[in-house]
Amino acid sequence: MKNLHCQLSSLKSDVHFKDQLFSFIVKSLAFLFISLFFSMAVIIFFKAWPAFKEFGFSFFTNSVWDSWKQEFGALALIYGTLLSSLLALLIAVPVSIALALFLNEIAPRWLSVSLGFIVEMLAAIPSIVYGLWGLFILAPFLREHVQPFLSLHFGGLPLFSGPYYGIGMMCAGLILAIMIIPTISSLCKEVFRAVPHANKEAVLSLGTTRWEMFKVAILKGGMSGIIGAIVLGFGRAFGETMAVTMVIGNKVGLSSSLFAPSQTMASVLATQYAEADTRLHLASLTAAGFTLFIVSLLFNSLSILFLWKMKKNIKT
Amino acid sequence: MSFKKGKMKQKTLIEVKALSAWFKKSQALSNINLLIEKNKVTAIIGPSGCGKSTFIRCLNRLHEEVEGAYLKGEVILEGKNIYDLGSDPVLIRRNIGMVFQKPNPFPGMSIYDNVAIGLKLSGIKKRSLLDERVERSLRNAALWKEVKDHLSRSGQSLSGGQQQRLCIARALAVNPSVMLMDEPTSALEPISTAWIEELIQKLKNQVTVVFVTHNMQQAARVSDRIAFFLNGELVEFNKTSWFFTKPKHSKSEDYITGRF
Amino acid sequence: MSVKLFDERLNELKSLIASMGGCVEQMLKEASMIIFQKQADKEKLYRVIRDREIEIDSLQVKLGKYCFRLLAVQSPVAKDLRMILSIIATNTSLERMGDLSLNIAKRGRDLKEDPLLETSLHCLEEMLIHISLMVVDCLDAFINEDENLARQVIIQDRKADDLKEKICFELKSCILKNTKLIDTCLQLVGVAEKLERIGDQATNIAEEVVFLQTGMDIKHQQQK
Repeated sequence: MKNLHCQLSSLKSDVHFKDQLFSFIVKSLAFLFISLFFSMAVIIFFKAWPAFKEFGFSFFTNSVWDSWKQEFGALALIYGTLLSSLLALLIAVPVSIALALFLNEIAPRWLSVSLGFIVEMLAAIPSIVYGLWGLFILAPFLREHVQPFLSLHFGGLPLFSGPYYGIGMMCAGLILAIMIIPTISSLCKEVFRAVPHANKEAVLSLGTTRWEMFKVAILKGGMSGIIGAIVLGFGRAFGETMAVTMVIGNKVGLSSSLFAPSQTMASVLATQYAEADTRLHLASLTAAGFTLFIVSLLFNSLSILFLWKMKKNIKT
Repeated sequence: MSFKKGKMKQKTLIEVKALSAWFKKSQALSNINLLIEKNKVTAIIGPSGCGKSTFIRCLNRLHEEVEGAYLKGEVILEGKNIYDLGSDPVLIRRNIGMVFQKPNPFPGMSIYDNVAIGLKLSGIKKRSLLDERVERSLRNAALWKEVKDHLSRSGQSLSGGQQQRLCIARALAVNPSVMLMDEPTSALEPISTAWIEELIQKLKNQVTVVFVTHNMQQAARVSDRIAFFLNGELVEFNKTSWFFTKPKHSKSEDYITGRF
Repeated sequence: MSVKLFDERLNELKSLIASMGGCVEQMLKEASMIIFQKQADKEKLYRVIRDREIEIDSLQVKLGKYCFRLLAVQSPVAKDLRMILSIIATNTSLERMGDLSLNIAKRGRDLKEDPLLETSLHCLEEMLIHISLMVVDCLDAFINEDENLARQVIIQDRKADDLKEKICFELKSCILKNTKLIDTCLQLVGVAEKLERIGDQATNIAEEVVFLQTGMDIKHQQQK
């Protein structure tokens, strides 16, 4: 009896040891990852510190970025980043919502499945391929057909004034839009799918058209989810580097015209990091990177918050 | 329940003629013939999967909203077949309210908006008229006293029973002549259930109620007429008092006495 | 409670009814011995009958309690409901029959003999046999849920009424012949009356059987 007891307790402690080992491994991996994240933020900040020290807050308000004069201000970059992302959203949001509605509510099952698959595939294409496509097909197309038309008819507007080259803000916005449509639409699709069937039927049973049903049951009910999807898409567009670098023209400057070439925080990093020779230039680039890091972080957490809220909302 | 023998001739509101319904290839209803009387409560009972829900969803053309679903036959409401080629399901549904199994106030909408949404969608914009109709519907659904001081709160902040009454108010707001209820109390506890049952009894003066229930006692308590479905067929349609004392069909008897 | 258990309870109730019915049948038999068998020990038989009546009373209380509980717990519908309702009605009828039988036995115990009463007694015996048969039949009909037998019992009730009329007529002529017999004759009229009431109760039970089977109440229809 006593023997058995001993055996059992040794077995138990053995099990406990394995448990402890396992939990130690898991915990340390998780901790490692989290600390990696924080160390990244800290290291980037310290590398960027000389620039912040040199220019102070004017780093964010100065639009001059000149490596010759060693004067660096990120305003034009922030402007370029925001404008290209907003432009992308402006195009992508209606298209994505319409696409998600079509896939979820209107298309027959086979079409919905296959088309949905293709849309998800679009998200898997490397951004450099988009960049190439933008550079060789979209930009010439814009230059030959779209921009002359806009310039001719709406040239009076500041948006469509000035010379056009194909590449530039407009092209970057379009490419970004195409790139974030899969993200937004597939998230919206999930949001719409989470709307209980009975809710849709309840709206229909009030005597509404299908469109009114979409509006009331799906769009209104899933609003926070849709906003989450949009914010996430915005975050993607914000940080996109390669494709934008290839089509935006890479010329620092504040211009109201969509035809003008521009520069984003990401693209300036991609183009100038290799050739940055002074400490200040390097630090300024890192400072732009840090800004990008913080802002993308903000948008991502915001989108997660919205999606989380939506899930809680619909569950009831 | 009344023991008096009604001498008045009952008016038929809905006449179902040779109705059959399918989901893709499987038949859910076969050849249903039924008369639903005006201002009476008709309960649809039967075991799971017997076509009860499908039947009431055929009455407001919701059946066709499911992919692969179709039907044959006629449903004549107030003298007009709702499945006529020219008839518009949107207009038909305005005349037929529906309440679902799970209380489902629309998310992101206040109590007021939940009730007013049907009115707004049907084109009523005048605030005073909306206010009046919302209040009337909430009163009819016996919810007004509980919510009148916080109409702007979210509909989902209410308790389950209140939510279901809100859904009833929402359906009542557009003044339907028929109210369909698909197991309206199956997600509620006994007290809320009793509230809803009482409400159904009160409502029958204004609307004709057709409801599906799994609870036989509830059907006995609330309804005037019983339709017993089995395997997609209508086995018996009878007065409730008769159905629960001397059913015509032995299958009905077996079902209600639990010898199934 | 499961359906099976409920069915078992119903069967228990039915067997209680059967044993009550058995008591009534025995009481009628013993009462007839008191009245018609001259050599019988009337006092002892009367005591037996009285004990049976007490047993019936206790059975009635028990049955009533069971039915009450089943109604509360099961809320039966359709045939189950009709079954319990008819058991309750039958229960009451049987208890009444027991009371009436005891009353007959009491009158029989104190009966005085007289040759003039021969024909009346003969008629009375015929009636008693007829009533006993009705009781047996209505109980059989109830236990076997036999609607046809029940309807026969209802028809038989008319004959019981006729027999009672006949007995009364006979007794009247006895009184006219010898006024000293008036007390005995009145007792015998009483016996006939009670027997007729037992017949009515048997008819009630038969009507319950028809109700149980068809859901229709056929009481008070013959008069119309």
